[in-house]
Amino acid sequence: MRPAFMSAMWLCCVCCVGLCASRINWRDEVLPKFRLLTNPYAGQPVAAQAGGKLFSRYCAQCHGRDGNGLRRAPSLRSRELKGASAGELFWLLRNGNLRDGMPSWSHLPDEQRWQIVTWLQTGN
Amino acid sequence: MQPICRVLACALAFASCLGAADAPYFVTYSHRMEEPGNLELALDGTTGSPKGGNTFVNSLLEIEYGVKAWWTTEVYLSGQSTAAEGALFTGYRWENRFRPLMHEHWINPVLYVEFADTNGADKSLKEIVGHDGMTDQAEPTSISRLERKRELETKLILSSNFKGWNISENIIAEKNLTNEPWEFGYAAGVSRPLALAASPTPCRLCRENFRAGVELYGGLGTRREFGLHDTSHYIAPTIAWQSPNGLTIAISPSFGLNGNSYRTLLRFSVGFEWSQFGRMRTK
Repeated sequence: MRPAFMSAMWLCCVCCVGLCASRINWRDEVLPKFRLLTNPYAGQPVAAQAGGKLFSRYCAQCHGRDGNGLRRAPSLRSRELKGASAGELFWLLRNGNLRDGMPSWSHLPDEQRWQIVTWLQTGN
Repeated sequence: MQPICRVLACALAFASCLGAADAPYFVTYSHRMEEPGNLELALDGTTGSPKGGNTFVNSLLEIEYGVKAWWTTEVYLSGQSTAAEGALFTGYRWENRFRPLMHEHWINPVLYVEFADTNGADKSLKEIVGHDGMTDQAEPTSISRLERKRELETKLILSSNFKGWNISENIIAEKNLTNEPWEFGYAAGVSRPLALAASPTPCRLCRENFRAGVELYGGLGTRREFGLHDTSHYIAPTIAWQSPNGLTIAISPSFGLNGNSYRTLLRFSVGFEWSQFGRMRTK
């Protein structure tokens, strides 16, 4: 009984380490329904301006004022983010990337998250 | 009343140099975690007048740190001042919150574990469990301070965000580490910002910076006597204002819903959040 228990414990440890070590690209995790979302504020300069204000308040501390990234947070001008759809960015703000240190911003209303997406897409 | 005024004055002075949580809740927890690397200092006050007892002000100094995006740790230092009975330090609490699911769901669970080492004079009323009631607080400080409480508290936090609304429910189980039965309690809250979209211009007093809500909390008896009999319950409207620079001020009058509860309690909080405090230190 005891060796079986130890083996099971080892297996659990190996699985945990494996799960922690694996890095899944966040875009692969976006649900299809989010990919298809359209930004209700797309092309609205006022919304982009509000999004810029929200970015300074919530995002700039990690990503830098200009979004070029700081030591522990990536640049928002990367090819990956430039290629992301509005719905994918909205999903990322809603869920964050908790394993990699990006918090969830789901407590912000949808409208404010779309404003940030608008700013990201016009600023980028 | 003089010591209370002094405590309030100190709290306000402290408030002017501090900045806290953005949910307007005082008792209920939502699934919002502290951003990793951020440090938040807050001063939470509770004041009330028990029937047959003296008016008190309890102050909690709250130090919260985001260790990971899914793990927040927090230390509370608690003290209270009771009219005609003096002021004293009543103990500390150390809490940890873990978010087990890495994505946002319709209902988001958070696991909460707290160890508290306080004495019987603690009047923070941070949670109401078991048969907690107004009469517990009416005992003179000189007697109640002799009782030492070492408690383990666990909570299952369930929380949802939907169209700007936050709906949170907490199920509380608390165990005094001496030979006392588990005590149970609940807390639930609903809140919403006054404006859903942000204005394009910088502003301090615009509606988007205010969040209003209501909390309902109370005890559910013990393992041996589970139920609503001889428990206390409160309803508390609450409002919070968060300035763009990290300062948060919140206030909430609580109204007792039965004879075991205080008729009214007033809670207030002033806090400040330092962004990326951990990273500033490592530079």
